[in-house]
Amino acid sequence: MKRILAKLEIPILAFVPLTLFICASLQITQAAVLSLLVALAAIAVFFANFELSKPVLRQIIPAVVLGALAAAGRILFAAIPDFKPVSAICIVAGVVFGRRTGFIVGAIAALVSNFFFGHGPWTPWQMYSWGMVGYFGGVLADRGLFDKHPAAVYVYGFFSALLYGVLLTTWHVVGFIQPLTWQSAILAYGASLPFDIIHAVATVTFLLIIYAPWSRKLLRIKDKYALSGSKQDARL
Amino acid sequence: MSNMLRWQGKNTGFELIHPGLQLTYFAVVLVLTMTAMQPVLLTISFISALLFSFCVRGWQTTLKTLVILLPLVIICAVINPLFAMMGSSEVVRFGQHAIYLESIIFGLCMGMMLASVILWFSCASKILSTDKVLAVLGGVLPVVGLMISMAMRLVPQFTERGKLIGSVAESVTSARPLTKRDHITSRLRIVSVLMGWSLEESLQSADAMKARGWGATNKRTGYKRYRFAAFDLFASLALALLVITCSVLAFVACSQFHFYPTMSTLTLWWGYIPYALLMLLPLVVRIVEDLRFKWLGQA
Repeated sequence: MKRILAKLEIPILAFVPLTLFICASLQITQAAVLSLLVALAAIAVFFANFELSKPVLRQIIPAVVLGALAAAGRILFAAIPDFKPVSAICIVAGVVFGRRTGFIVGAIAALVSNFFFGHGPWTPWQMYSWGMVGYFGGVLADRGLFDKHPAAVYVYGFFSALLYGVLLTTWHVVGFIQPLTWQSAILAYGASLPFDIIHAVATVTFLLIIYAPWSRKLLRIKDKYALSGSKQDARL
Repeated sequence: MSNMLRWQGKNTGFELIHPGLQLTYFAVVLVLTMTAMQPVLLTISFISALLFSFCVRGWQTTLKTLVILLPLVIICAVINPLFAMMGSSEVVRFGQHAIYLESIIFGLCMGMMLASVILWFSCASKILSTDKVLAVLGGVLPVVGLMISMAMRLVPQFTERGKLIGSVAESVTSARPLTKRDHITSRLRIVSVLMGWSLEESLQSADAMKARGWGATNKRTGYKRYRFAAFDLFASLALALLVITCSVLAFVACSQFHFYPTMSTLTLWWGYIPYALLMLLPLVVRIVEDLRFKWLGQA
């Protein structure tokens, strides 16, 4: 069970955008519900996987605190639309604590902040999209990209925010515009582009401010409380 | 004590059933509302959500939500015809762009669907308090349940502590922000201090929790005990039967109905009755409970 779930991690994460694509190309009428269920399944598999890895109490704390901090940041900056630090914090978490923590920080940030902003069918999508922002941050850091090219993290920050925007707009387009045509899809993407750019600029700004100092601070805490070299890290 | 009394004031008969069932009910209602894109079914769901919200969240809060929701419905009704130029009965024409009645109605239905989903969600979050969700999740997902509850608790704590750090900086002459630039750097410093402080403290409380026997047993216990009683079994069977009936009826209703190119005409149909019963279920339970309470008071 554990092994199957661990192997499912990448396929199920990839399956979510694939479902959107299939729904769009086949013009499925129940796309909203179908894609929602797939997104929920992806999050469920991810969390179940995390649950089954039986993490030590200490190891879940960084994800919880950073997720709550990202949620609080989103609430703090609520006055400026789309200018939010969530993606930046997810990326820092992914880089320092690995891709799984990156995903969970994003998912928790979306889930918890929506208790203040209001839950809806978008909640699983925001959880998934921010989770992916943190997840890819962790994957790229694992490959040593950010060690080789320190500026790459800001470039990634910019594009990750666009990725978040594209995922949410695609969900909106596929799920809620009927009948779906090329013109209407392009119109919807065009309408969301300015907001996505603001989000991207915000992410880069926050990364410029927090990336270096927070990484240093988090790495120190990681050493101090012996959070690395754990069972969970070894399995990754 | 006052908290206890307030909690009791909000208690509806619906809360007598097992929290797992409550969770299932809301999940089913949300899925049905999102799938059944048919004007009558959507109206039933919307009205039920609205009435239940009046009952659970009070009419003032509900009216406040409605003030936000109405523009949403109108925006959906306006935007859809701009995006989807489809239908047969033309309303206005701007050069090449025609606005059709059918796509306006589709937009209205979409808006109503979103509005009902939001209303159902807000009712659910009122009824399903965090401790109930944790009690349900605690058995299946203890780690994730703990993470969510800890994160929920941390958010208000951050606000308090942010103020505390800020006032400490204010009272120290050398750290007091004077210029506008200082204010910005001080804000950033507050967040950074907050992160370090909360993370280290949470790690210590994790150690403290472990020292006090967290995770020592396989099965977790909750703050409140919820037992799956015989009544819950009966309730879940009844709910399952109703849900299956409603899903079939909703499927029939949706497959017979289409928006484009011409909208199907809607007729009176017995099949709407079970659907309405399902949607109004918590409200009916509440009214029955109220009546019973009154009757008991008189006797």
